[in-house]
Amino acid sequence: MQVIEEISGNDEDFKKNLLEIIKKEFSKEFENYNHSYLKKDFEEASECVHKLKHKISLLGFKEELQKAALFEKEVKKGNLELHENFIDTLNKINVYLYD
Amino acid sequence: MKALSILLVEDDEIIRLKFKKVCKNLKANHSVVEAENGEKGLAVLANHHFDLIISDLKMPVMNGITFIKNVKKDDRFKKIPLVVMTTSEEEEDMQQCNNLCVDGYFLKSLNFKKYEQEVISILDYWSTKEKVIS
Repeated sequence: MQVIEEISGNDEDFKKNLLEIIKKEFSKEFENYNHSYLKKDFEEASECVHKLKHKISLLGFKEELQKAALFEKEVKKGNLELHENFIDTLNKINVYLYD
Repeated sequence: MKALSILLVEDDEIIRLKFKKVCKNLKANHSVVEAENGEKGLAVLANHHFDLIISDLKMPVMNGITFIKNVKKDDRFKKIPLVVMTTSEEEEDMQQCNNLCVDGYFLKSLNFKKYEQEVISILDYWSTKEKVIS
């Protein structure tokens, strides 16, 4: 949460709003990614990764952010090598947000 | 610094929140109206006066390029400065924006400090320019 703390400063309302939006959008975007992956729409899947990358960044997962950035480019070309790794990251974030 | 009336056309709610936070921190009394896609942006434009439009490119319903085309062909709106803030580094997007004579093309950083600096520099520039014009 260090990144969110830095952005928020002492603004507790902002922090609360930001976390609420991250939670709300993360679940939706995770679902959208899975949907795109299943229908093999790689252009759309790349756009989903792009949106999820922003949340990964905000939550301070630096290593995962680099991998997601690479996957965003690769999935667009139909390369799914990093798919499992990306799903692991999303599951990790899911636990982080909701546990 | 003159207070600007800004239309922010951006589908990402987090970026809209961050943009408003930067404006709030500036204490310049900039006012921000948000639209989550180009279609909503056009609807808002028809009913408000703006000093500056900041638009994303990749948005659902109506993307930024279509939105900009509509703004630039409308006599009521075409003189409003329009700046693109996007994460797209695609040559085609940059070329299209250049052809549409946008007033600036900025790459949005995921890093908040960098993003904040980008927004501040854009607002500083246009609020000063407004002063010169008026």
